[in-house]
Amino acid sequence: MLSKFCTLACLICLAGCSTSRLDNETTSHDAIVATYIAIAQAAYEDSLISARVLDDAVDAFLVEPNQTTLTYAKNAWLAARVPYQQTEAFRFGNAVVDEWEGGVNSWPLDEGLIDYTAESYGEESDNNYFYTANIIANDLIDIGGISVDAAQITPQLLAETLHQIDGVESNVATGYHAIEFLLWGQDLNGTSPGAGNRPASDYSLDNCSNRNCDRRRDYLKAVTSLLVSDLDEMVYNWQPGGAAYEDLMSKGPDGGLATMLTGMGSLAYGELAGERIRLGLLLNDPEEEHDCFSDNTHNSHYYDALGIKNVYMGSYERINGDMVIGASLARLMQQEAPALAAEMLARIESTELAMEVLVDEAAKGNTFDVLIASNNMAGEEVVSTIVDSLMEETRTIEDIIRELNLQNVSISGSDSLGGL
Amino acid sequence: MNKYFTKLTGLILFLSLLVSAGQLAHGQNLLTLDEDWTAINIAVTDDLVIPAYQELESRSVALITASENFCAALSDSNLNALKNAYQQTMNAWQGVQHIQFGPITYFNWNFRLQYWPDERGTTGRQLDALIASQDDTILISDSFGRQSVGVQGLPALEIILYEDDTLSEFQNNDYLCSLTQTIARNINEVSSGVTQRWVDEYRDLVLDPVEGGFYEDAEDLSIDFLKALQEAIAKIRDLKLTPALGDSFTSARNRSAESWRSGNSLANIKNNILSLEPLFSAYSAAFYTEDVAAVNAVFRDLEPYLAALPNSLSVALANEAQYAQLQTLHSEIEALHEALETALKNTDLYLGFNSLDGD
Repeated sequence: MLSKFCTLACLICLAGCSTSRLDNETTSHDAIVATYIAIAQAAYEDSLISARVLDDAVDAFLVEPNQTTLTYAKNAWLAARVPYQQTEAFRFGNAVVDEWEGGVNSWPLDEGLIDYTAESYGEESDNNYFYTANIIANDLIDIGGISVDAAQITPQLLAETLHQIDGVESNVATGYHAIEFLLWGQDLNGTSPGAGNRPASDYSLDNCSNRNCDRRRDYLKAVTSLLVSDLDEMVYNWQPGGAAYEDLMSKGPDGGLATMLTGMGSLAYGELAGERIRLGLLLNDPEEEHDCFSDNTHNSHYYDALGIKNVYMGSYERINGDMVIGASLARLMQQEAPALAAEMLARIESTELAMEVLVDEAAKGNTFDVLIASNNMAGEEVVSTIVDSLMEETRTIEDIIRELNLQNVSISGSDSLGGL
Repeated sequence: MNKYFTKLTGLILFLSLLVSAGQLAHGQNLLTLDEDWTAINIAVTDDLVIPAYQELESRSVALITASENFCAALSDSNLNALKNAYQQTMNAWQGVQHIQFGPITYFNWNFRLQYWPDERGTTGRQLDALIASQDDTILISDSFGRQSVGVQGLPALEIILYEDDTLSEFQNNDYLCSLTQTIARNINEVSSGVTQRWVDEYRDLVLDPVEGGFYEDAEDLSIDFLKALQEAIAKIRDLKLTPALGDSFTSARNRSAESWRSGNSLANIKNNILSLEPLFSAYSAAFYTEDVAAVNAVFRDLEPYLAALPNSLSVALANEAQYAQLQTLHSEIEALHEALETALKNTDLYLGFNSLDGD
């Protein structure tokens, strides 16, 4: 069985082919899991490729920090989110991914740990003694009995010492959102339009704004390099012999299907509908948006939903336009339970339409933080529609799990909201 | 095994259970008749749930009165009376906090009563902004109900009332009185709304769970109650105790606890346990005798710890002997969770996906 998976999964590694056609005629569980692995390999590889582009753009920015090079770096970050968000459907259910994810896409963050913040951020938090530790401004920190020598800002310091220091999850020192904060700065527009507006001179050695530019440069370089090496590790994890690959293989074909549906359901339900969307609506709080510095939340949510669709349809469009296509849950359900299959397609479509409205609103200036403002009834409607369609989609995913009689599937709820 | 038997199959199985309950292998569902489940569900509704919501509602009425009295005459004694009314309301809420299905989930009522845990200090931050705005239009009932849930409920009121110098804060800022009374009325509006919905609507659903397609059968509804029980125990362990205890005595963190400002953290846990025991007891016929005995044994073990709990969590966390006592409490809660988990596993009751039902 292993060799069969390898043969199928490795097809996509062949250079030069525009479409990786896995066996999409069959509905065998083995073949469906093989497609799933092929998509994971391709999507993490795309995430790595685009993180390297970001790393290069950061290098260019640091050589000559100005508005143009900063914009290039920001655009590279935005582009890097496209494939990465589509991998989030692989997080839940795959323990190797879930344990690793905290270093890469942790959110929300108390950004005062990293750099200067505006007065409105406040000075203290009930739960976090490092709320305003400001590593960039301090090369030695001694808080609550924990002392940190931050004289050299290195990937090791960020990953091994600072990240989630003192056991506090919002002490996020690494990953996409730390980079986002370093490129955009705080979004001080509340629930009004506008994203963070950090000056390029925050990284200038000649004309430094907001002090400590040398250390800020070190931080940005270290955290971007770390993202590249973390993604490199995850690409390896999905190759034969890698931890995620072998873990999945050990579950058997039915266990593989259970993992796929756990990932789809948990991302749709607890994480996306709950933690990342409904909580924002309940609190009307711009701090509760996933890409809160860049105001790119609409895209992050859109590509999360697309990632769920990819897993179900057994199809993924790579960043270079190549397709990975293979045997799918969609086809299996079409064969086993056509009515349920049709229902699932309708759910996916509803979510996609609701997400497109979110993206369209952002294009008009109504980004996620604007939509969740209190008394923005139209915005609430847009966001609630997404929550509702994700909940419906999850219920149908549960029906599929029951229909396939899969065991040991547990859809995660939201940490903050419990069952929604 | 399919959990949805026909009534006839269920009856036959039930009768066979009566004669051979002692010899049955684990994995069997002990209660299979809809009427057996419904009898328990309605007893729980009438004897536990509705009275608990009524208690909350009546405490919230007293809270409004106390807030009005305090604002009519700002004094230490009226402030103490108001704090007392707040604590009584919180105690009542802790007695029914575990019910996280049904009317409490309508209109965000659960979060409007209590948004917690508040990992990022959103409540305090939003209260500061609201108070700075001095915006009276927000304090109109309809408008207030649409504000962030962070500023609407018991945690917001606690922050306002338990400042270092609350009295002088109120004396220097009229807005605090308006806001306090608005929050008290909001808590009352939510409490009476939930109570009314249980009495007028949900009780009927408990009697006829299939009506309206909400539940598949009476067992399905029972699972909501059992899930409430199991999740509440996990919540005490994971949210109310673990973060406060930290990894060790030196890393204890009082401010991670629920109600740390008013010093109600441990009283909350006590009120939770006192409300969970009768709920389990009501469903004991659904479990194997030895499993019921095991769960009850943990409840018995908990009694002396609950009776001897220190009044203040912050004091307890700063005292090594008392810290050790809290660690034991934590272990007992863990044991309770495990015993219930075992009891559930040994039956055919499947809590799996039901967090999604009844929304």
